[in-house]
Amino acid sequence: MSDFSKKELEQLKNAIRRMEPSALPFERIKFSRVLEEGEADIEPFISSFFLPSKQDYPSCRVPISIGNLKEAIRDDDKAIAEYKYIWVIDYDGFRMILDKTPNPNARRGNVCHTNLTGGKSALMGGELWVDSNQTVYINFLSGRYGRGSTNEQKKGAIEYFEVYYGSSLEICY
Amino acid sequence: MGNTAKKKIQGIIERRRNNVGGMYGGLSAKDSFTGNAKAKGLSPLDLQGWAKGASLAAPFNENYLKSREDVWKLRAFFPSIKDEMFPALNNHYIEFLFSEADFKFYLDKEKQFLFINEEDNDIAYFGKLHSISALEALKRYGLATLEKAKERGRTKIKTNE
Repeated sequence: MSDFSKKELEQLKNAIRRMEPSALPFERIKFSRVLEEGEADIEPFISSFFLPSKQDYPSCRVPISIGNLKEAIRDDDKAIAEYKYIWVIDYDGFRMILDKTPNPNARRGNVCHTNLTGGKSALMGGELWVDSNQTVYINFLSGRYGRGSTNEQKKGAIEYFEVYYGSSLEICY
Repeated sequence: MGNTAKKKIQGIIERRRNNVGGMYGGLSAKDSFTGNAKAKGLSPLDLQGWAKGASLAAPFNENYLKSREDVWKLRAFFPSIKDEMFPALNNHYIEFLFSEADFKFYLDKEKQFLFINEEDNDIAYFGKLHSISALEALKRYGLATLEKAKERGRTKIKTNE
């Protein structure tokens, strides 16, 4: 975190306050859902986590040929599935993993947001793409952590991302 | 379906409503869903017996659950469902669970997207959403789509409606 200025660190703290309180998986949508076997495993995936520093972009980029990425994200277009990251923010920071990362211990076959948290609480979660121009696209589509959040919590997450990616950030729905 | 089977099902439903035992030991679909009560007294055999009695034809050609490996998709909505129940988890029973559920789903005006709840951002971006019952959503889109909606909060519906 040494690459953040004092002012930016204050912004991050403020953003965290806006996202509080943190929530357990599915708590915000008031769904009681058991975490399936393998969904809270964290150890096998730590080496695949991407923990960005400022202006630090993950390596898997959506090619320009995809066209309108915002539209593709809205439509959950299969063509961009392989470039999708899932992200969480909690008190340990911000991290992401490629959604297609296999999880042989889980029936769904790939990782989910709780593989980033070990099933613990988080402040916010969603999906993320980066295009070849290094524009970062985020949404709050995570039934486990993002859905059910208030507008204020979403604004907090946007403020948090802006510290990392500044004007190269696009918010998607 | 014979009268005996009908009476048996009615009795089970009645006992469930009155919380006096029977299938799920009186645990309603609502309780199962919210996790406020723990399933007890239910054995796969109970369920098999019930399903055998309920010989109504499933309204769809496709099964909601293709195999035991899919049971977790149902458990995403009803936490007390166990893998061992698979042989008895037929379409009729799954529809029964959803018919008693206290949650619903939402659609945008064009019926292109299915949502698990309604948020300000959705209304701003997709316009006013309208709700559909859990059972209706199940019948229209199937269990896999509902599970995907739950996992992400929203999913695109592959339909020409």
